Amino acid sequence: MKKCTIFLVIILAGAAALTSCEKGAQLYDVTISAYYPEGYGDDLASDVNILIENTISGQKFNLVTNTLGTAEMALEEGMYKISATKETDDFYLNGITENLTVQPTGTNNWDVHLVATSKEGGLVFKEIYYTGSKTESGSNYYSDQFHEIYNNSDEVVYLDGLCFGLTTPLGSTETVWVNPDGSIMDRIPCTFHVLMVPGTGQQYPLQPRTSTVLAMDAIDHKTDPLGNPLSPVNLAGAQFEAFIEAPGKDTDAPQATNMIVMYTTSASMVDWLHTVNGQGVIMFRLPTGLDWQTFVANPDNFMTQPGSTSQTQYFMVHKDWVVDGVECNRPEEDKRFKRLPTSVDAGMTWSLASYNSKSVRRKVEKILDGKAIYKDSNNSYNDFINDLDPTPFEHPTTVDN
Amino acid sequence: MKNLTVLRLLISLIMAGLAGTVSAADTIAVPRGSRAFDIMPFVLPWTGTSNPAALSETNFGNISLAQAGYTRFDDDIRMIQQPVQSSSYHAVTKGFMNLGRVSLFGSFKYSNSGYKGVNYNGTMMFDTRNPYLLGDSVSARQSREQFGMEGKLSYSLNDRVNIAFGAEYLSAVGAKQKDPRNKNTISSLKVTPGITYDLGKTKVGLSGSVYTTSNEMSYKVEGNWNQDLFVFLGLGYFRQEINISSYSQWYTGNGFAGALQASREGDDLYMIAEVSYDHYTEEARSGSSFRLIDGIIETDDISLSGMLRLERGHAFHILTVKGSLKAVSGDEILQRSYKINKGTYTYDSLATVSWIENKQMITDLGGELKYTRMVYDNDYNVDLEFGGALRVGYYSTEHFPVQSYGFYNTFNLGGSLFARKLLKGGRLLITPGLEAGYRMNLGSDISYIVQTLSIPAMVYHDYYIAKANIISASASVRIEMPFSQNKFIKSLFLIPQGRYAAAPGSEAGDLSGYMIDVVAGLTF
Repeated sequence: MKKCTIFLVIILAGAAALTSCEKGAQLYDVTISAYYPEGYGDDLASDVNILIENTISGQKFNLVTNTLGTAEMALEEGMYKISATKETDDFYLNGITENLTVQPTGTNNWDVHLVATSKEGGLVFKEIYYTGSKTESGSNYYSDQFHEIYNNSDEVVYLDGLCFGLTTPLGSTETVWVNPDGSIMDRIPCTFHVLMVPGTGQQYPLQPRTSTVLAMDAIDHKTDPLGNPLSPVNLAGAQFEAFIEAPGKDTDAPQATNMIVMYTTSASMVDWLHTVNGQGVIMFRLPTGLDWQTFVANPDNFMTQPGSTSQTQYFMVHKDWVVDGVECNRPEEDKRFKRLPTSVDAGMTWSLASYNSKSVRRKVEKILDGKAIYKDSNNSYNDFINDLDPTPFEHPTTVDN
Repeated sequence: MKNLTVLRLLISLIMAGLAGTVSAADTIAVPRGSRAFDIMPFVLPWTGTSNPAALSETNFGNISLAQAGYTRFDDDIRMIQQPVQSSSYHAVTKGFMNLGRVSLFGSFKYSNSGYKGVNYNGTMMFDTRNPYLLGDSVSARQSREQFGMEGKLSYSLNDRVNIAFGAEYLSAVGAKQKDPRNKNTISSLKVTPGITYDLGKTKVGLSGSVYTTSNEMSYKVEGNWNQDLFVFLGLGYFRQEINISSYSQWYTGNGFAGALQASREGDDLYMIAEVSYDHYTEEARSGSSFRLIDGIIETDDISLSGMLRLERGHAFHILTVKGSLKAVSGDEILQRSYKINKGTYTYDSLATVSWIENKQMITDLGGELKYTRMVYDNDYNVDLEFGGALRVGYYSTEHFPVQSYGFYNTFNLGGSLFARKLLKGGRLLITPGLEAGYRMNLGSDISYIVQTLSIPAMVYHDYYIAKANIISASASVRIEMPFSQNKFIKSLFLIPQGRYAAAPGSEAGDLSGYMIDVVAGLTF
């Protein structure tokens, strides 16, 4: 009996050791400090809204920095992104820091630096439809893509010379277009076709609180024989079309003004394509006095991909030239990587799937004299609503929450 | 009070069995026919251990069995990642052979199975503790064809020492014929050496094993390119792979185990115990060219089993006890591969983005106490068999940090009574049997934090099933015709059986399920 007891004790001790030697994953304290832009006066920013996102699990936490400009939280191990937003009378302040990890040992001090953008209205992307649609036979259809531009200001804006670029990289990897310290370059690489609105300077006015549509193909996609009856859009009324003449396979809708193709990284592409998985898109103007032929003739305005043997030359746009930019990204939480500088877009937006006939649209912030003023805090995560039925040429009459 | 009454009834029945009549000691042999394979662990207790050297105890000559059958389950009382329905055609042949000092055992199994109502699990691993399962929400029939082989060889070095070697191999393929369609190639290999040393009345043994498992999955979409997959992380939390056209996953594991056995034999009393430890590591890796780790589980399993057999004339009183503790810890990992281009050359680099240890932990503690009274007739057929069992189980699953995620645990007590009686009709040996059982929940707790990427309904379903009070009943009849004159075929047998279980009033609803099984075969 005594031997049995000893044996039992050994077994129970072994079992206890087995269960007690390991502890589950824990929470660790993290301190976040928010900093104003240089020259703002103060250093640390109080009352900043901080959004912490676990890029692996999708968890989100909202904090506000205290009077010392810091916020604290206990987080589990993992990969995080923090976004900071603050609004003053004259500026939207945005900041973003990515690839942060919680260390189980030592202290976790994270910084986020704010970038200021003026509240003055201007041209903005009102709606972007890039996901495409499915045909009746189940095939993929993406010729119904469009980008809608809205004049959010009180003044007429002339579109002549306004340029559009789709940025690289497209896939689910981090951008390699970075500085030696890992920060995103000031120059933004554009891939595929880079387009420009033609005109002599005042040929294409856009009235205050009105929009214009840049279509991939300016046809009624629902009824046109070349279209897709299941497409959600009629783009026959689009003012501008991305007509890519060179490969000879694109349809030219005569009623729409063709954009100038300034440059392309792929002469074989039959049309201007915003990838259906989401891609950054920028609206920009070349520096005053510089015509596009002179710009593309200068090799200093192009770069090959860092670390690549590929000789493909990418069209580089300085972030200060950008009028508006929206980072449309992949639907998967853990595959979204920041590609645009914070001053262009401090956030990102996405549709939930490709070929789902859905668009992303900027939120309406105010209705003035029956017309919409779209939200432009320079953070598309906060400014856009995703997965909506496309509504080109239409503007809501109520404010979006 | 009601629970206490049931407990008292079970204990009374067991005590009544222990107090049964005894008769003069007489050696009981392994019965003829198909029952030899079932009751061998009671008659030759070492054959119930994991030690292959126990094969040297099988000195009853040569006996083999071949059988084929059909099994069907339709069960609502199941975990969410298990099938609602399954059916299987199966065939087995196995046998023992003695060649002087050498004893051999071999078996070959084949099954062709179909599963319906499987959600969130394309792995075909329906009884696993691995939380990192890959699955989709398209429920369609999955089929699986499987072969299994086992061989053991034991050699008696002398009157005291037996050494042995055993090996098991399993190979299976499975598939679903609807998008997203998974194809599974499953294999496992286990080798088990063992040794026993006979000290006379006392005998000790040592065995160990190493094993490896593999389940290579490939998902494909042949129709519309718009299918999503769930990479589960435990307790209903997941990562999503959306819009896949193809996807590969590999579950690869290896383990080792060791076991100690000891027995003590008296005039009519036989005691045997085995304590074993098993450590298993399984990785879930995604990708085809670069297999990135999604998660690693480590399972530590300590088991204890013992049997006390009292022989009284043509009858056995058998008391068995079993206990096991399984501790599972899962590391959640996120890796990415990059192509590094250095101008004149490129290479692929793998980066570990996140490695969180002990993110998912499971504790599974179980025990069983069982009494069996077995009475033989003069021909060594089992004339009467009855008894009862008490089972207790504690199960806990936690996703850490539990403040941000959750956990649940259940504590159940179960009992069962069974009886089988041999009836003779001409040359036929007919053994009808009945078993009734009840499982009741003694305690449970759950806390669950819903996250963006979580399926709470999945967790609550499993929790309600794990804590459900379940009543069950089963019936079987063994019909066997021995051929004493036939030199090759020793007997023909047919065994239909069925089981019904119900969980009325469970929090998951009024659930029920049944199993039917029929096998026919021969011994030779």
